[in-house]
Amino acid sequence: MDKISRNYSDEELITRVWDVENIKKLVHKRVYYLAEDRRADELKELWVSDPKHQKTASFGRNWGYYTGMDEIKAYYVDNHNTRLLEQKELNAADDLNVGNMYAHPASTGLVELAGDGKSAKGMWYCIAQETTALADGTADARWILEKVAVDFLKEDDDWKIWHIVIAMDLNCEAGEAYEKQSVYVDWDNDPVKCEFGVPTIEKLLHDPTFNWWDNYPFMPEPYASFCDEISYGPEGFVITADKVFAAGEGRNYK
Amino acid sequence: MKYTTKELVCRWEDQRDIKNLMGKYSNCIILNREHQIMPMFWAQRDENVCLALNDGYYKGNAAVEAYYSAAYERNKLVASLLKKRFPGELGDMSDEEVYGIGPFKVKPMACPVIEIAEDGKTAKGLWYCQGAYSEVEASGPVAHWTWGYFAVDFVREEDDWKILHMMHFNDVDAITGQSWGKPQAAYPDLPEFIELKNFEYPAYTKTEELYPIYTLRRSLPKTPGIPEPYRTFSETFSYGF
Repeated sequence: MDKISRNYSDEELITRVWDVENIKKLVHKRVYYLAEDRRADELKELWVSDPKHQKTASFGRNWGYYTGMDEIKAYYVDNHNTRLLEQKELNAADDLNVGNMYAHPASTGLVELAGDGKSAKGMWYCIAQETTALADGTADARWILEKVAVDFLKEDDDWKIWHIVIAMDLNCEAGEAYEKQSVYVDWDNDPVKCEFGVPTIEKLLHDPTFNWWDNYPFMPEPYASFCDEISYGPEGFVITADKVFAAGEGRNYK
Repeated sequence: MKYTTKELVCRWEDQRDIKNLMGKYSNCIILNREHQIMPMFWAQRDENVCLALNDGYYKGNAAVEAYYSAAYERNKLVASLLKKRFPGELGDMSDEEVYGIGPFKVKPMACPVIEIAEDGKTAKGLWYCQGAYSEVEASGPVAHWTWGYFAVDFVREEDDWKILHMMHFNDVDAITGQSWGKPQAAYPDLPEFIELKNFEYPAYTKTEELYPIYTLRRSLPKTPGIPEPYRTFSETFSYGF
């Protein structure tokens, strides 16, 4: 990586200040899009639109990455809508999303703007909740704690999401005691994993069994210009070198 | 719109002042200082101020002030009931000293999306609030999750930003320790706090379901609109009624 220049003019400095503000605003807007389940709008309005960038866009969760906007849309929008239609029929509901709720407020924002001002990296933490209406007249209400890491690109004058990794640390039913949660996640029945499906690149990115040392996605650091090795896309994935993995103690590690 | 470097710095400071205002608003609620909110944070020169809650809105300075005053009176009532309930601990304290004992209302403001008008006279902001409150009710102390939105129009009065319109809409108001996706079990009333059952906030200027609280039969509601860049207030949408 090039050495990071700190010799900015006043005009460059205030531009960089507003760049960071606008990146935070973009992530906060995504929170409200999620609350309204506007996934198609999110991809269209908040993500990269340049075809070259769309080709290399990625959406990662604990179990791998979808790559390219077509694959991302198939998972994030089309499969999701299919599941909502199935839920609507099963619940004999009048509309999609009756009794559902999505809240993923992003806090603890950490943004590093590239020295060249063309890209940025950010990380947030969400104490989220999702609620899914069930056919028995109740709902499955869940706390979902997750780290959100994002690469951004500036297209024309607007910041856009390029790569995202949402690494879930905890997923548990509301109203149930933490100490009664299983130590090892039952991923065969985990609703977030089931929804994620089979990604383009299937790979364990983040194991919630060992949150305290599994440092993926890694924290962004100051950088001069973007390169693959710092990417939150699949090309930047780094296996957390760790004694527990090395000892084969990570049951979920593949 | 192309701004000079100085204008960009001023607009950044405006945005910071607006965030600070909402931070102070939140702190006043934690400190049970609702009676100070109207003079400190709301516009004084505009009679069209409006505070909207899930089930209706208060419009005009007198109506909004009456709401906050009622919150203050309720805090006083809770303190007096607790003083009676715990004479050993609180019996020797004056009403002033016991004021604030009981309620603990947390409204952290997160995810701000703020737009300042090009003309610099108004601004709009939307926050997500993953809050909670522990309040003394007819059944005694009860803790609730409250998650929802603060959507606010601001107006500049002299050099200060003030609240012109506020929507405080909750998605969830549910007892903690229980799933909000299952029927909630309310706690039985206690005679020492039953007086609270008769306490009522002032009637809304207009009663109307403005934002439905979560139920199993609720359709997914639209959040209060996300602010977009605008030139002057008449050219954007309003959070008022």
